[in-house]
Amino acid sequence: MNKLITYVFILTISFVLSGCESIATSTEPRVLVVGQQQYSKYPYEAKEVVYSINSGGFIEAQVNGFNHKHNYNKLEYRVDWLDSKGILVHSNRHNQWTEFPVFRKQTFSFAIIAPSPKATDFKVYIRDPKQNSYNIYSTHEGEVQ
Amino acid sequence: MNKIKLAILSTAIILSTGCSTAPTKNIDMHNDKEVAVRGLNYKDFQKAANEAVDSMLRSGAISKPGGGRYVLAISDIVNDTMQRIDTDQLVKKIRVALLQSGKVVVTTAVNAKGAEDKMSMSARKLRGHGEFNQKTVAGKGQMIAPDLSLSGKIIQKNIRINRSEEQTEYYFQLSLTDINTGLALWEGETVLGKKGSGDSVSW
Repeated sequence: MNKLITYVFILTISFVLSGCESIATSTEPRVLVVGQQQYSKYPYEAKEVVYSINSGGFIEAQVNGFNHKHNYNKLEYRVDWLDSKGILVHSNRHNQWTEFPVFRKQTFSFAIIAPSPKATDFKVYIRDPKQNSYNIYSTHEGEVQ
Repeated sequence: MNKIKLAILSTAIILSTGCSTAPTKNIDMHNDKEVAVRGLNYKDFQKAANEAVDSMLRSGAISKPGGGRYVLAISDIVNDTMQRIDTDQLVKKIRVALLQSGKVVVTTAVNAKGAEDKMSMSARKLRGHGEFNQKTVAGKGQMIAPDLSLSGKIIQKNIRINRSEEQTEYYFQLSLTDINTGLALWEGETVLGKKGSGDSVSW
């Protein structure tokens, strides 16, 4: 009986601890953190998107997120701008990735602006460009660069 | 016998050198894992142009009060670097993006160094020419004078860090001037830094 209580206690504690460590999946539909779906504890989280339309009719947006990693890193984003019919708005920056810094265990943000007033909606993609070349859960975790 | 050995060895060296030549590859411009270079490459111009355009769109400087489009003339973009740069690598990207914004149209009939496209004026020499239908010849007073002017400078600074390392800084400075008043409505600067061996060159 005592053993059973001990097991239940250990299990409960481990569930609580893992709950504290887990990173909430972004519910912001306009932002996709590439790789977040595959890993439950992906270190880069997009928390919210704040946006408005400026005096020129361009959508201006700011993506806010958090870097749960103990490392400084450079991530990249790209934006698909869509018109009222959901068709991509032509831009010479389409498919271009733009770098931005994320500091260890800190919030990050970057601002975007539509290429044309025709853009009425957008989808932002964030990626770690090094993701394919090393395991993000490798021994680099916790190191200060 | 030794001569034969030497000949075989020489042939093997020549063949292996030939085989090690890197094959030509197309760069995937959308996913280029760049190799940093001391000089300026297309990514540097892309970054400087994107930052300038985003800043212009944010500032509202290119949104004409009451609607419509501004006419932009390209003035001097000075290359103050040690490299031979065609400044159109920067300016063309800005022009394309501004045109796509729907807020600006660029004139090719007026430029700091004369008309960029001389045909606008050459075609007017057909006035009174018997071989041309005069109704199709560009009329007088049809050209639109520019409202705005884009000028700037690309600066390079080389700083020696120690015996073996050198830092190169590039400054992309741009100004958008209201031609009517002479006032700069927008100004922007992008700074890029590169570090490398003092032996490698940045031109």
